[in-house]
Order: sequence, then structure tokens, then C-alpha cells
Amino acid sequence: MRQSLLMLHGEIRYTGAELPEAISETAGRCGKPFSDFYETLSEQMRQMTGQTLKILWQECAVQYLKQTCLTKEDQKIFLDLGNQMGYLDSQMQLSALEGCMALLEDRMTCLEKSLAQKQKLSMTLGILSGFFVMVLLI
Amino acid sequence: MDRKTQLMKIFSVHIRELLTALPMKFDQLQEIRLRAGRPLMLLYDNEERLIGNESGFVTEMSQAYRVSAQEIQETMTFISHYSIYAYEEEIRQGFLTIQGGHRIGLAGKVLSDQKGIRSIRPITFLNVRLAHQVQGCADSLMPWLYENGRPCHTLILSSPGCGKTTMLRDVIRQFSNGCKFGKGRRVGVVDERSEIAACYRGVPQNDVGMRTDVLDACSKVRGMEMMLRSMNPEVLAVDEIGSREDLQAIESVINCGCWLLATAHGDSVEKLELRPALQKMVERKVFERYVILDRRKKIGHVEAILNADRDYLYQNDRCHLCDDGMRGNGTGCREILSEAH
Repeated sequence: MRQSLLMLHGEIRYTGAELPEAISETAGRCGKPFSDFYETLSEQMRQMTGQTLKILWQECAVQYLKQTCLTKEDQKIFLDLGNQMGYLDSQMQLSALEGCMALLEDRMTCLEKSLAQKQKLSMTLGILSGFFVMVLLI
Repeated sequence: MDRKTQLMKIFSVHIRELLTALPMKFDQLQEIRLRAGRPLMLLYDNEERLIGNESGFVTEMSQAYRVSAQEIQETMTFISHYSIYAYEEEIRQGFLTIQGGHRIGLAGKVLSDQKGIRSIRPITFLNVRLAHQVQGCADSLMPWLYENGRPCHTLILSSPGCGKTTMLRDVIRQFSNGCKFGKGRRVGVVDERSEIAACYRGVPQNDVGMRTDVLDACSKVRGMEMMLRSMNPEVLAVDEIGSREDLQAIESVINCGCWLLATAHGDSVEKLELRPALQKMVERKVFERYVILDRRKKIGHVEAILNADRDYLYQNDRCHLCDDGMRGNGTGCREILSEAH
């Protein structure tokens, strides 16, 4: 997810392209299910059915993010981005993407820390279980 | 998707519904005006029309549908494909061109800083000017713009709203594709205000011919230099000349062997001479043909054609050459003129 946002950031920063075009380019460079999300979103935006970008983003995210292992918190970070995109100038778009990537970075750091702690805990439990079995056998 | 459906999609949902339901011929629709808090108006077949709350045309202001500021914001969102940030430069200039070649004028509160206009925010007035290319409007003019099979340096003149740019566009197309009076030529167009080719993402939305290259949204002076240097045009076309810098650039064009096609404001060659730069061009006989347009009978009516010596070749629907008989190039004047007439 973070990689795809980085690509979208690059598209907007370098080409200044409209969102449907930038998103479509990003879709071509990332894997599923995000490629499907971006491609569908780009298509919906071009149709101009009258929906706001927030709703289009939400509908596509709900459809494709359920195929990922993202938690509700992670999905919320991504959904909130849809509310900020398209607003004001190009610097605002880049700031919104950078903000989202920073939040994801924080989430990843927290997860890595808790992973290390969980690994320690599992190892400790494993050793203690081993001692318990030894005591039982003795 | 047809042109009408493509255009309607830029409007907010309710306005879209009102416009789509109107009983009108799309080809006769010229402008759609949105003003915050004011009635929705059209310029249709040269007449101003009001749209009612339940769609259909109305005559009373009190019955007209009023556009809200929110609807204008929504319209801008769709015009920019949810990407208003991608149109910062166009907003600064006060207009943008969308797919189909339609031009949208913008107005509202201007935000300025030391560098000049930063943006217009909020945008509370929109003028959607529909692009209607009139292919063939230059058919009767083309015989006059060739001499011995080659194009003439031509200046098209008229007051505003008489079809100069529409005529210029068709002349460019015919020079580019070729016609019975001359072969197809490489044409370079410097389209400073995106009105000639109406490029959308660099692709002309109007037919300007198969051998035409376009520099879109580029200043005339710089654009002429760039075209000469890189695109090897045989004909160079620009719209609305008049400044001293234009004169210098034009002289470079002619000295490089290109033929020049341009337009200027004015309803006579004498009026041109009131402007110093254009006066010099007239004195130096830069242009071989002056084409004067008016709207006496219809928009784009050719009122007169003059040569470099300011002799009338054609005026008031009468050819002056017919009285003189054969033209020096060996082609019977009457043959050309009977077709042109």
C-alpha cells in the first residue's frame, strides 16, 4: 500500500497529471489488489457520474481492500486519504499523500515493535513449556 | 460518446439534467453561463435564453432556475476531473479548454501576491463557450489566397465576433490538406490562447489539417521562433497580432521563407494603420492579402479582399478582377470566381 502511494506521489509531483491519469499510471505499476482498486477508481472518475471523490474512493476501497490482510485501522488511514485528495493545489495533494505514508510508517514501526515483543514472549513460553514437560517426566 | 453527452458530464448533476432535457439543437448552442445566485442562461442561435426550474425555456426571470455557488464548485470538480490542482496555470489565466475544444471562462475572487495573480478562489462565474468548427467556411476565400500555386502572406481582419478565428482555422486546414489551388503544406500554428486548434492534453480537438503542428498555450513571439527552429513549417499561422515584438518575429518568419497567416482586430486596413506596429507592416507590404470580414449577412461574411498595394480584389460581393478579365497567372479568373461565387 505504501509503495503504491509513493508511486502516486511521484506521478503527481513529476507530471502534474490529473488524478484519473495519475491513478491509472499507478495501477499499472503495482500488484493486486491495489492495481484493481486504482484501475477501477480511475475509470469511475472518468465516467463523472456525479459522485464525490470521497464516495468513489470509499466504494472502491471497500470492494478491493477486503481481499487484503489490512486491519480496520490500516484501512481507515487509506479511506481518509480519499477525503483529502483533489482538494486545493498540487502541494496539498503531495502533503496528503505524505501524511498518509507517514501514518502507515508509524503503523509499521508499531507492528514491528510488537512483533519483536511477541517473538520474545513466544520463545519464553516455549522454553517454560519445555521445562514444565521435563518436570512432569521427572 | 457523442459531443453533447460528453459536454453535459462537466456540469453538476441537477444542471446536467436540466440541460439534457432541453429541446434544442446542439449545433446552435453557443454559450452556457453559470453565475452564482443568478439564473442559468444560454446563448442559443444568437439569442439569450433562460431555463426554468422544471427544465424547458422560460421568459420570466422569476421562473428561471438559479445556480448555486455549490453547483459551480461541483461543476469545477467535474471539469477538472476531480483535479483542480492540475489546472492552476489555466485558472490564473482565467480560462481552460476541455475535451471537445470547448473553452471555459472563469471569474470570481482573484487571489494575488507580489508575483501577480495566484488563483481565482472561489470561482463563482463560468462561461462555457462551445466549439463549433465550420469546415468549408473558407472555400470561397481560398482561390484568393494563392498566387502561382503558392500561398500568399495573408492577414484576416475584422471587429470582434465576426468569425476571424473560425475562418483562420479553416484556412489552416485547407493549406495543410491541400486544395485544388495548391498542394498540401506543412503548417505550424502558434495557438497562444488555445482557440485555433483547441488542444486538450496537447491533442487538437478541432481539425486543423493533417500536416499541421501546434504549439499550444505558447506566446506568439517565442512560439514563432520555436516553430521555425524545430518544425520546418512552410506556413506559419498566428492569431491576433499587433505588438512591436510580433512585428520582429513576423519579419523573421518571412525572411526564413515561410508564408504567414495571421489575424488582427480592425474592420479596415486604414484602421490598422492607427497601430504603430501594424502600420509598419502595412507600409513594408508584409502582407500580400488583406481579408476583411464582417457580420452583415452572416458571421464570417467576406466583405473585402485587398492586395499588398491595398487595391480591392473583391468587395461587396463583387469581384474586381472579372472586369479586368484574365489574371496574369494564366488561369481564367472567371473559372475560379464562378466556383467561388
